[in-house]
Amino acid sequence: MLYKGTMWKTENIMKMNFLNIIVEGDDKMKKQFAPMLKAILALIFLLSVLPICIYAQGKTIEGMTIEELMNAKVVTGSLTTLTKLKIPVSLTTITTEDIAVTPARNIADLIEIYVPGAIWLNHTSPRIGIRGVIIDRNYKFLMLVNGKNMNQKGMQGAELELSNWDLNDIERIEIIRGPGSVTYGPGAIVGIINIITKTATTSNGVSIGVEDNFAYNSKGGYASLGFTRKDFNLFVHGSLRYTDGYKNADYFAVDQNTGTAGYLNTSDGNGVMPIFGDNLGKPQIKLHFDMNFFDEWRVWARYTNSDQPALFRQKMTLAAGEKVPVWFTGQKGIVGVLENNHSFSENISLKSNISYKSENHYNYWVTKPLLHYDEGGFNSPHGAGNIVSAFSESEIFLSSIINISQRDEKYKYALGASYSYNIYGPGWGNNKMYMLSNDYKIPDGRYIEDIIADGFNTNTISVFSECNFEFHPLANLLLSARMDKNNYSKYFFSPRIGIISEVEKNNIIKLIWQRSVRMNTAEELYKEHLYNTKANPEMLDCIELMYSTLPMGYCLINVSASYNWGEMLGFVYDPATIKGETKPIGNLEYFTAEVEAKFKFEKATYGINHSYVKQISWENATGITSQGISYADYNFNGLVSTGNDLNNWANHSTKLFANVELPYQITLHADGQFFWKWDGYEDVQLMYIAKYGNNNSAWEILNDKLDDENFAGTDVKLNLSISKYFPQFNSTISLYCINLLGSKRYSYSTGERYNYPSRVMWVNESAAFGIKINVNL
Amino acid sequence: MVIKNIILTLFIFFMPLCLFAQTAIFDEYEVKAGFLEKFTRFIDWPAEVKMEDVSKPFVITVMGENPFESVLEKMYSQVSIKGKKVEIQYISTVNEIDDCNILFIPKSEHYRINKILSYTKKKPILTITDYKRFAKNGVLITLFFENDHISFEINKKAVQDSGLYVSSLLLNLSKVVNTEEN
Repeated sequence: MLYKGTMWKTENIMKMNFLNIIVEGDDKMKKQFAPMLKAILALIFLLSVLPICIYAQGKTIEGMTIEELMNAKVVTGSLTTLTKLKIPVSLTTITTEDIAVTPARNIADLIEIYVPGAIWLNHTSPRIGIRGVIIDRNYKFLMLVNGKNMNQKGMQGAELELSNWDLNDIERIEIIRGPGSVTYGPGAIVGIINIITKTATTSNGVSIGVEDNFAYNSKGGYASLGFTRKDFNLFVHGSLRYTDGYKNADYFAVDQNTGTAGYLNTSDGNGVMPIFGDNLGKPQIKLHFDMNFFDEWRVWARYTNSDQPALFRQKMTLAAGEKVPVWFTGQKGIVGVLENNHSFSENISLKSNISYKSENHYNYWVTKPLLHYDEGGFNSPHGAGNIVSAFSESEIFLSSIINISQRDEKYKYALGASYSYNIYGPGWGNNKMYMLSNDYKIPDGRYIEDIIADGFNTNTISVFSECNFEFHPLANLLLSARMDKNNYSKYFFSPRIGIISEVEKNNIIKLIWQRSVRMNTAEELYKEHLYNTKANPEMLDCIELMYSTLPMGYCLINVSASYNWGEMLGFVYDPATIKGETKPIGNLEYFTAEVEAKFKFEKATYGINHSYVKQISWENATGITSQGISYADYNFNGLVSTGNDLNNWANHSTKLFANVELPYQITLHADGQFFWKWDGYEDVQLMYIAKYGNNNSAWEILNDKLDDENFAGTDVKLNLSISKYFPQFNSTISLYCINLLGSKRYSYSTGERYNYPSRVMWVNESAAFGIKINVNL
Repeated sequence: MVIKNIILTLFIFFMPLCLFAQTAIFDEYEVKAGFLEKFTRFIDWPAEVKMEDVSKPFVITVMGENPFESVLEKMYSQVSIKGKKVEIQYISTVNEIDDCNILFIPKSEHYRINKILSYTKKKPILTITDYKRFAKNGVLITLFFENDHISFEINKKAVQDSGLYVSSLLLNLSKVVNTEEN
């Protein structure tokens, strides 16, 4: 019998007894209801602290005595908070205190824990999704460090910082949910992740720390120094991390031809690749240097690397008998920035910077086991080796912004321009570039790879402007626009109109319309140039209504709703002409709603948020029959459209966190993420059901197995930590557990194209315990 | 089974701890606004002010830039002072200081603080500021930050000159500043 939604079958509901299910239920029942039980228990656990705390806040200022008022703890800078609320975006800030207590392996985990609706899926490395938009490369959002764009423009987008285990140099992470290319540049289609690093003023003195995550056998340490003198501040940070990765993980995969499915680790003698392990034993290294001098000057530089094997792959045996990861990717990069912020008067200032960035990227897929990793690739024609891509990207960047405001700051104006010169060439230490994989030919019959083996350059210029008219607290008008042009692209235009209204104290309403654009990757732009074409940029329009309120000093509530529409682009390969082309793949419309509440008390912080993302429509572009965005308009290999949800997404998700300070300087932290159903994945199952009906026994077996595994069902992640501060040593010891309940980490699905759903892949992430020790001297 | 036990144990563990772990954090200017009314409970105005006449409002005036935004209106639409309805005024010139009962002087008035205090000197007006330097100039009460809390100091000499009577209970809670000593 073929059906979907086993979890709510009537007969099972009648048998359901949550308290006894683990003890008495049969195996199938256990599997079906365990996630639901986990969700309910975790939700009770996290929610329990919230109403109790709200209840405890009974007394108002009016009802206090003067002595009580003198003892009331006061939060300062409420106007600063208010200023932040007036920013025309939906913003989540992860503070250094959050980072210190949160069990997270990397920035991708932190984002999933704190940002409403955000997820990460695996596709050789974490792929971040914000507000329903996720793709197999991280190029639809921008990753910034101190405002500097760290995205790899050549091919992959944001990679450098996402997978590094060391988070001790971060002061805060600001995540903008929604478009923002008008301010931050092309690429910010669905979000911006801005890492603000620590400085001498925020982290003075010497700090050292060590950490051991037992499950991942990940060991590392860091040291920081913050030094301040008159007109001179210096901060340096360095870390080293060795990680074997989580071995013997259970990877669920489906054979695309036979439909047989199961956990790889139990079926393959070679074993599977470890999760988040170092490649070939090379540790992660991070170095950071930051110097401020003479008030207005700042120099900072940074080196980061993060290499890791792709998940969901079995190991490969090389000729020498060595079992190695079959697919792994890595990147390392350096950046150096000189900033100047000069005030000509109280009302006129100029902010300028010049920077150099270089990144080395490689992506190996060992399909030729007799060769060594990089053997053959550089020397044999047209991708005969094990290299998918290997190249370096260097950039010289200049930017200046002049800010002019009236004396009372009711009228503010900013005008800026930037220029970037990008060089794409062979990877560090190599003599041939490997960027344009596959055997693409240009019209004259030559292979692209041969043409650009030594690399190519691009130039990009941008001008941007913003006007802010505060006619009245009720009517603050914001007009912004940005134009970008690459020598291989068309002109891109990103406008924004915003009305920000302070209805009454601490109540802000914002209505924003903006168009965000994404410049194609340099790889795509150069191919278009060789084909004598120029693609339109990917564009996303968004109308967003936001309401923020601080009803009490300890409570912040944000509510937002957005309607988004745009034409999505993809790189489409035509095997008949041996030609790849960037072209529209479909039109997308979707709606998002987010509610977020934070409570900050003297000894506790709580947060809860819920995100709802619903696809309104998806329509394939002419000639497109399959893609990874949605199955709503699908027609490929007998698979026809079903459902109306975004693929790779859970429409409803809820996140909670709590930090509670206890006596004896002990801090407890708990956070939970609840993905109530992966609606887009469920559409996959329905599509195969529609294809096969009752006439395919292999599919019936597979479908039952997917039901047994609660595929696309509720998924819960729960992390805990307990920290003890020792004032006599100015040190903290933390014990933590990542994924206490265990959960699925799905792989990004690029769309089903085979007889059986081979994109259905996940790894069961198990509980991982660890210890952290930090000492401040 | 083990997992369930862990969660339930933690759940039980967390709940009672949260009950005593909480202390609210308040907005800076909400607390400062609250102090205005609390001070009046310990201060008597001279008879000429006719504080017992409840038909006239109790007037709180904010000079210059208003740091309270709408807090005062919100709070004092519900709260009376000395049995009187509270009226909030915002003024920008010294000449507008009239028959107010409380005059709040924010930092923005640093360039004319002496002019303002010359006008209010020997008048039954309770001057309050949250800019600590003004205490030396002769503002009666100064609110200031101390370890995440708001405290206040009273300029005893200025109080005597104003004709207001300040209870020793309030003086005991405050730090005392003397203009002459400064």
